[in-house]
Amino acid sequence: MAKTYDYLFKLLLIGDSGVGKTCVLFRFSEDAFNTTFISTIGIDFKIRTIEMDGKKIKLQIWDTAGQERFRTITTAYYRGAMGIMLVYDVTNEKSFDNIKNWIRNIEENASADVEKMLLGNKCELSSGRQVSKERGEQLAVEYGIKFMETSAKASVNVEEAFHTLARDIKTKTEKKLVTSNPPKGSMQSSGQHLRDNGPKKLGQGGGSGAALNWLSSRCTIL
Amino acid sequence: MEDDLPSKYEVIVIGTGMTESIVAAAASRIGKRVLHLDRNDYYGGMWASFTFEALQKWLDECRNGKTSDSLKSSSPLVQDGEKSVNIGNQFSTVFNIEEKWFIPEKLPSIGNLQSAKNTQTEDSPKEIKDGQTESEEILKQNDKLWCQAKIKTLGRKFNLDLAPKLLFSRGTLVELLISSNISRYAEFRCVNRILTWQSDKLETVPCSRADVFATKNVGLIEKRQLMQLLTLCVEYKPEGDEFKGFEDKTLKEYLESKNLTENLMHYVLYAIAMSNDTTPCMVGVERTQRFLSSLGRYGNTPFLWPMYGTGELPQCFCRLCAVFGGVYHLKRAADSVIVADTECKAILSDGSRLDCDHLVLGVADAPPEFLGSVPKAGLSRGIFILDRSISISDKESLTLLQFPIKGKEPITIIEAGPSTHVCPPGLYLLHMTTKQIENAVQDLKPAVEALLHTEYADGITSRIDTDTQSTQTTKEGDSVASKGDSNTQYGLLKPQILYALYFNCPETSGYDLSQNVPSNVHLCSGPDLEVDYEFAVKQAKSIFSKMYPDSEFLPRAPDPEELSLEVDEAAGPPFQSSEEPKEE
Repeated sequence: MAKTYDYLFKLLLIGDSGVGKTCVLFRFSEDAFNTTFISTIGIDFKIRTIEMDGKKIKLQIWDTAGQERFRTITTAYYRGAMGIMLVYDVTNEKSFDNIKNWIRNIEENASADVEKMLLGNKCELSSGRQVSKERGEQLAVEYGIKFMETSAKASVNVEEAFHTLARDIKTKTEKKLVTSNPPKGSMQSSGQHLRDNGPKKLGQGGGSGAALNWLSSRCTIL
Repeated sequence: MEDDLPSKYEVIVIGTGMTESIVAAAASRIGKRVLHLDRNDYYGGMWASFTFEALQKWLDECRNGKTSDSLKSSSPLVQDGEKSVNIGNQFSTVFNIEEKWFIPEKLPSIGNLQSAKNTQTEDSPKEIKDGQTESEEILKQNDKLWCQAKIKTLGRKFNLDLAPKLLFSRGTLVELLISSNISRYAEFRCVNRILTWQSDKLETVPCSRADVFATKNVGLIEKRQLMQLLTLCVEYKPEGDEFKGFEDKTLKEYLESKNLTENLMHYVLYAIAMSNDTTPCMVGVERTQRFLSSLGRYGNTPFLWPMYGTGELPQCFCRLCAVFGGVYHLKRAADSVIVADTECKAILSDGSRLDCDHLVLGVADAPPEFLGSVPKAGLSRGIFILDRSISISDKESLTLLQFPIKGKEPITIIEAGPSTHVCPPGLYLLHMTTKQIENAVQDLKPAVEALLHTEYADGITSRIDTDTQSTQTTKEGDSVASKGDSNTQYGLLKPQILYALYFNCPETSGYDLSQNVPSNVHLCSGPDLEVDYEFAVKQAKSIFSKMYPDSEFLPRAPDPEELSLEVDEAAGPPFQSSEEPKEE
């Protein structure tokens, strides 16, 4: 089957509970906003393919599955991530303060060259704002990352934010492709996902058929 | 962040070890309200993988034996007719800890730390291959010299497993990962080399076609014999009579009756049947079948190894549990279990009472009175950081070696390199596991002495370096061709131990853990001696079927694409969440 995309980027959403990560994700992946469905089933990840400079980029965007609530995100969540959206709620000072803790968490667990971006969500709520846009910008500058204020509800900047992050990863990826030769004498750097490979049909009911088949097909010398 | 936990659950799971995590995922998957706690700030308990720094922290905790501080005998949360039973102390279960460095704290010359930090960026192979200048040569030399500071600087690049294990490609864990769709959370590497120790040297066990073609260790007649024998084992059915008369005998006796050469006997007994001289014949046949049926699915050996170490695996199940609404809280200890009559009613944790229908507990957290006579000993473990592979080949290998010990269980040795993200470039990790007889140092000594260079390295002189891994180009495919050659120089190439850690921990897989517990409490074993995960999966299944006999065990989780926005079509039943706004 032909690949339907040129690049696959794994992105993560990180930030305190209730800042709107899942809503941002749904706004981007489904162009929908719904506050009621979310507590009914956990969101694993969502996929959306975008086009950029004639390339198809498949974005696989992972949600925290609620494990951020007591800071219990699995280390496995961070593996292989190429971009991270750090999300806070502009009406929640605490969620903004916690961004630096999340960045520390990222530094401990994610790969060192992961692209990060800061989002101040719920910017449609003019009343009750606790974090000014300037402070968001300032924090982003401090960490040398990009920043946007978004609203998943009013559909402000969500599209733009993911495109910005995707573009930065794409640029980095393409730069890497140009400068590095494929490493020699070493194994490829990523592992494989388990699929239902192999001559399974032969092996139904014990797998001995498959094994025999394998033995005789591979060991013809015998 | 400080909101407290809801107080009622259908299942509370304490400890994030392998079995506990599988049970948590299975319960959450069928819509049960699950709370999963771990007193540590990391996942996995005795199944965890650590960075170098985290390992040091864990060792400190083990040495200091952290005693449970609160022994509240009465609490207002305990009602009439109920009894509060204090939870056990995990750290008292790890003992005989021996830690040793074989390299100096710092290298005598300056600038080395700098180069250690830069190893990644230097990896670009272009310049090294072409005009290699003298200074680059020295820099490279220095890269081969190690000191403690350098290891610590690179500490984050380690994933050191407390319980290193492999997955059979057709084993129950692989099938479960695929059927439940949890496989999307993890990546694996094929073990690409099985070694054996025979006549004081390492040999590659031929188990792929390429191996069979290339091996010089097995003659043509032997190859035919091997094929015949393996076919017999694979085709074996209980009603057949090939093994008649050997039911009470050992596998070794059966093999002897086949007039196998010593060479073949060794391969079959130790490497393929993963047995020893005392393994019963039928057990050996079963293991041979298991080995052969897993061949060729993903690679040329039957085994898979998780990227980033085995500590990832429990977390994959935890993630699924969370996706289906399970609540996670690390760094949260249970203080006691509340029992009334023969049932567990609740647990006390941080001053709250949390009610549950079922309680699933790792042995490390189990109150002593639940454990009865469960043994305190069992496993001897060794973790070694090496400067090269035990058997260098032209590309990085992932290796299993069952090191035979006469009259005892073999020592299971797994060697993994940097490409599996368990150690920094230039190093290898070697894990040894065996049944505890005396203590870890003594029990593992034969393999350590046979395979490793155990002298102190002064950090000034580099041992003769015939490492070809970084310079030789390889073609896609196998690495066996040059194996014979490197074996002949074996004595020169013993890897230097840079750091060694030994410890003992309990092995409870052989004990019935349901004897001394209330009917709705389910104990989970820690890591067992076997190289695979069969035991953990089996135990998790059996606990789940005790709790929910009529429910499916981990049915396939839908792909995100399959989920529609409509609530009605959600795969799991709604998560009742009036008191618990999960997110947003």
